[in-house]
Amino acid sequence: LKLSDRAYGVILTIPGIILLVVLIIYPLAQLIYLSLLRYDLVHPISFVGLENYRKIFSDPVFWDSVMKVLIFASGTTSFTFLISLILAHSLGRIKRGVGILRTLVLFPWAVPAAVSGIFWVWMFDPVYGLISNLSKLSGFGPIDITLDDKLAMLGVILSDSWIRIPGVTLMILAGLQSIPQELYDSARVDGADIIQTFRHISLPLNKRQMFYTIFITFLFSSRTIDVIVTMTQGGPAKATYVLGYYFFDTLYKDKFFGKSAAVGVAMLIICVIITLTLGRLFMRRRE
Amino acid sequence: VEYVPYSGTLGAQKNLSVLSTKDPSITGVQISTISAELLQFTSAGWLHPVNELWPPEVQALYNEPALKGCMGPDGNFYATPGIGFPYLFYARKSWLEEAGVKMPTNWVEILDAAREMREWCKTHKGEDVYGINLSVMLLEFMEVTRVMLYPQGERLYDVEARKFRVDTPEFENVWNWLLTTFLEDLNPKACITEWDHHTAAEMMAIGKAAFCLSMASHALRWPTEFAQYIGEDYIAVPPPSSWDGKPATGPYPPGTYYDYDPDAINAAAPDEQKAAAMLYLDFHRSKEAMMYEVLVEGNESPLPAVYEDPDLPKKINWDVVRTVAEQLGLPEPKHWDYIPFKDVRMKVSKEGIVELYPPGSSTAWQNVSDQFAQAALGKKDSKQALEDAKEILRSAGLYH
Repeated sequence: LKLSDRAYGVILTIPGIILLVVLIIYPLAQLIYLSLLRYDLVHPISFVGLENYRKIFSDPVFWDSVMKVLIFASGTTSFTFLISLILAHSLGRIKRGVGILRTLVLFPWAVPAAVSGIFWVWMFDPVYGLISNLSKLSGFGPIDITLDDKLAMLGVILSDSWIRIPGVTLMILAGLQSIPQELYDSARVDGADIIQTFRHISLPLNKRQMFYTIFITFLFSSRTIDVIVTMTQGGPAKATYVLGYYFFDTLYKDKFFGKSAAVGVAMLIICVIITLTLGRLFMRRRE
Repeated sequence: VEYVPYSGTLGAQKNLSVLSTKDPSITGVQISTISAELLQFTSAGWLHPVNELWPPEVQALYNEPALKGCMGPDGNFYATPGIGFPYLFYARKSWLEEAGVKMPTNWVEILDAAREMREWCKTHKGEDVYGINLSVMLLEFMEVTRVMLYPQGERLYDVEARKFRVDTPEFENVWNWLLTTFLEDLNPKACITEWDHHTAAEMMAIGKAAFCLSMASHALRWPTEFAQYIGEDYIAVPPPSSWDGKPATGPYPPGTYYDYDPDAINAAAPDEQKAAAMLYLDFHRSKEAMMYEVLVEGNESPLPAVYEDPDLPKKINWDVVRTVAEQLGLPEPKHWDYIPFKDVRMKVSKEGIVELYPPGSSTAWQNVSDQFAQAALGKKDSKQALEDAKEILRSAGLYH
């Protein structure tokens, strides 16, 4: 049996299409359908159109959680990117013991997010915590992230960043290593210092990889709730109540399946907007 | 019957997963809160009715709220009462004597006594020792509101009108009372967002407060787990049944807070397993099982008859208790030859009030607790926070 190139191509795409339908399109359609239902386990399930969306969009807690997730994701992305950039450049230059150092850098990656949250809770403990005691020794007094809303946000950002840094470092490092060594050698011959080398070689030639890491980190951290559940439970006074937590409570505490599906769709729309915005920003920079 | 352990913090999520997916492999479930979950699960048809476990002579053994909490909206029984969790009011006995402060008997007196003890503690025990430890963290705010509303003859929810009763002077009394404890620095700020009622009680046990409102289980835990700090130097009484020493002003009969975890059966389980689970439910609510809760664990029994049996301590198999404690890595519980705080605990078991709330109440109350937290932390005007809290509750329980 001889197949034309076209038919052969169609056959080869079938497994991918099946996976796409089963894993993405069907669940998405189901989610959207669910979001149009009044489904709270007590009343008969009924079609209510966009009522669930009207309810969540008129809920100030929803908008507050959207704002909180933007702050959280921006903070995590900025911190993660900055530290990863420094680490990747340092690791790229180290010649001896690089294997051990890379393993050490990778260590937080193996830690589940919930465990990271518990670990950082202890670090921030106002009585026994390392950070709080360092703060006391420096004359700033104890730090209590469970009472201070700004510190609480900072605490969860640090915790989430801690487990994201290894992955981002690796991605930036991979990009750096694809830059020919000759460029650095010739820059050195021309008398360029570290900053100049970074600005004129590492940054422009690794830009695509860096934007990709920013993009991925922002999207992933905007879905995070595990560190927040273990560290602050969304508090104090909703200071760390991100959109994912709003979804979690609507689903598990209230068991409003229709409304929580609407929150899920809203989260998806927000992620799409972020993707388009970052993508456009990235494309413009490339141009 | 196989016991499947899982983390308590994920209990509600696990139950929802098992029941919503009609997973037949888990037969029995413990409902984590009766306030709304039981209503939702029974309405969804996920629980198997257990009317066979509730003949009239068995119903007669329980008080009405305990029965109400096991019933579905269709009038069938879907659960049996498991472990009870009432609140008790604790005071550090020797400190009160040294300070010359009388044991308060109503809520207004508690506030005054907390003020006196805070001043005394500052001088004699340290700046970080408070008048009272009372956690209002997240849903505990709802619980303590109930504890303090019932003595005023009020309820949190009007079942017929299907709305929370927030526009009452009694509700404002509770809000202002709690706020005062924080604004006057009688109650540590950690009780707003950091310490749950267990931690608040433990902090009192190690000498960080003169009074505490917390779960009844501490009455038994302290002499074992905190023997070196507090031993038996404390008084435990039911939360005061009077607001200010005058007759209650609200329209309902006064009472005391009570809550428990009902045991239920997954409707999707095979019949023979349901039958086995019914035997377990019948056993778990029985005197034979509850005596261990009452005398070893420090939990409470919704079955008042447990407290009336003077021979109960003799029936405990302490060898089993010792083995289990060793397996769990806990100190061996104190061997009681009487039922400690028997009258107090029997009173809350008999007079406890259970309320059922509509779906969505948990999140609504969590939002109310956040409004309170903002007021107590000085981040929001207290009147505005109260108005916003009322508004949240006015719309809670309507269509979601």
